[in-house]
Amino acid sequence: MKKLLLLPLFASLVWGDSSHVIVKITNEIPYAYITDSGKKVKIERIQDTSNRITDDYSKTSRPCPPFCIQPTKIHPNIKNIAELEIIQFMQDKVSTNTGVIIDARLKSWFELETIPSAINIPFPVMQNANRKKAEMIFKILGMRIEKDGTWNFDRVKELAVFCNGVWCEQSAHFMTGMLKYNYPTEKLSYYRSGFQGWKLLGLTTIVHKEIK
Amino acid sequence: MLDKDQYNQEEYNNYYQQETQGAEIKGSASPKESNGKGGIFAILALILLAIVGYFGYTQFMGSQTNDACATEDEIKIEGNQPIEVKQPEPSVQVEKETKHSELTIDISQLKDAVEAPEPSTQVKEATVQESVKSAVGTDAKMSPEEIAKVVQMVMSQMGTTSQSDTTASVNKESKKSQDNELMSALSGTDVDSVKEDSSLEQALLNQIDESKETTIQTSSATVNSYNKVNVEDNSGEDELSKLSGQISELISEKKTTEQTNSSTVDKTYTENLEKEVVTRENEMRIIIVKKGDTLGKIAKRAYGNVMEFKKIYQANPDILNRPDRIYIGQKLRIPK
Repeated sequence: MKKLLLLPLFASLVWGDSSHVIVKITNEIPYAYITDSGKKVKIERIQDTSNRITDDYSKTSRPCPPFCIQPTKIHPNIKNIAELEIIQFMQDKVSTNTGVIIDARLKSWFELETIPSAINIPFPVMQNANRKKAEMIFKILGMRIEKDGTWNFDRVKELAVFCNGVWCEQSAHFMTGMLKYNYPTEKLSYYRSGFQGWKLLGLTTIVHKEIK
Repeated sequence: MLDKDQYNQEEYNNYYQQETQGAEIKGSASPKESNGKGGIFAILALILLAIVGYFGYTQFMGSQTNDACATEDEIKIEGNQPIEVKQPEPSVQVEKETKHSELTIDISQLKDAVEAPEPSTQVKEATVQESVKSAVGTDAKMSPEEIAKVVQMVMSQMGTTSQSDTTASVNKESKKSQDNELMSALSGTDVDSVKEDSSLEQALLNQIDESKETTIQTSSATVNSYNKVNVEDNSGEDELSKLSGQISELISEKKTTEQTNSSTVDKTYTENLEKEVVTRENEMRIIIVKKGDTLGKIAKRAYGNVMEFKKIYQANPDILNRPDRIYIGQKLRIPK
């Protein structure tokens, strides 16, 4: 009986906390928390409903080539994911250290603004990596080397890769580098909307280097 | 039966007649004929207008001097308010009599004038009305000095109400409405038209100069207005931070050892990306508002020209509701 009385109280605390959120992530998820660089970061959407993108990601047109619209599929076995899957990935994989979100853009782009909890592996690094360098990267990502020298990808981390968005081919270059050394395709996901898609929804971003 | 030719002929004749009449009318106003009497009449009419205009102007100026003290007070009171935009006070309506410089004041109009936007100020209104009555008495006719005194009292009462209102938290709604008014006024003018209208520019600039430190308040809510979280130090102890550190170390090693091996990468693509980064850095440049800052001052610092404040205002639509309201700690985009 006491439990029944306490239940509405807890429910009211939970709902009361999120009641002020006008712009939720989904109907059920007002916001989410993730750790980035040792800091707890709240992932939410901009609450100002009149807000508009004003910076570089409001651009509609860049010269093509090289900034051309990318195909949805990089590889038949590589999953395509979107914002909700990324947030789910953060909570299920990143927080349990079984997955990593990879920002495949150049370091300068990553430093200016990125998705929370993402780490940076610039696409040229993977694209140009020789076997030794690829091995070093894969080892950091959880690959084990068997006694006979073969690479064991069983415990390798799942990767969700993104770049600037649908007009950006950096993720494709990165994935090509990964696949060249047989990184398992089932461990790779492609967030095609990329950072522009993230920004478009007013989701929280991380700034590593502020331009003053 | 209608004879077509006859009909056309009649129509032609009608047109011809109209045209010739028009020509005659125009011709009658030939310069040779009108130069004589017409010129004299015109000169006489101009002289008459000048005389009437002169007397009218002197009368008007005589009556205006009585209102002069009221307008001065208006400026002073509004100047003390933090970010009031000067607007003509619609409340005090003084009926002017044309003879001499005596004015009649309708007390009921004064009552209307003291009416505050909120119903709770009816008590204040009553006190103002009392003071007005005591100053005016029951007689509607007053000398200019009396009128000046009355108007001064009314304005001082209104000033105190507005000052107390700015400090009260209840007044947020009225402030908002003022904001909305200004915003609607601003939004009503296109960017191009603002550029052309130098008077509006000057008015905005004056507002900025007047605002100075009085407009600047401490605010911490604006830091995350773009939903950006600054994580400049990567000193996390968790596994993800360590992994990120290891990767970045490896990348920096790679940069030194594989500089020569980068021929396989499409250099033009990377170069284009670098260009985009420069563009992005230019667009993302920010400043943090300090005490004493105004948009004009910031624009002067950033661009060397006070009038460039509009550029900053337009680059921060989510942070700046008005160009004369900035707060300490605000991070403003300063596009290059």
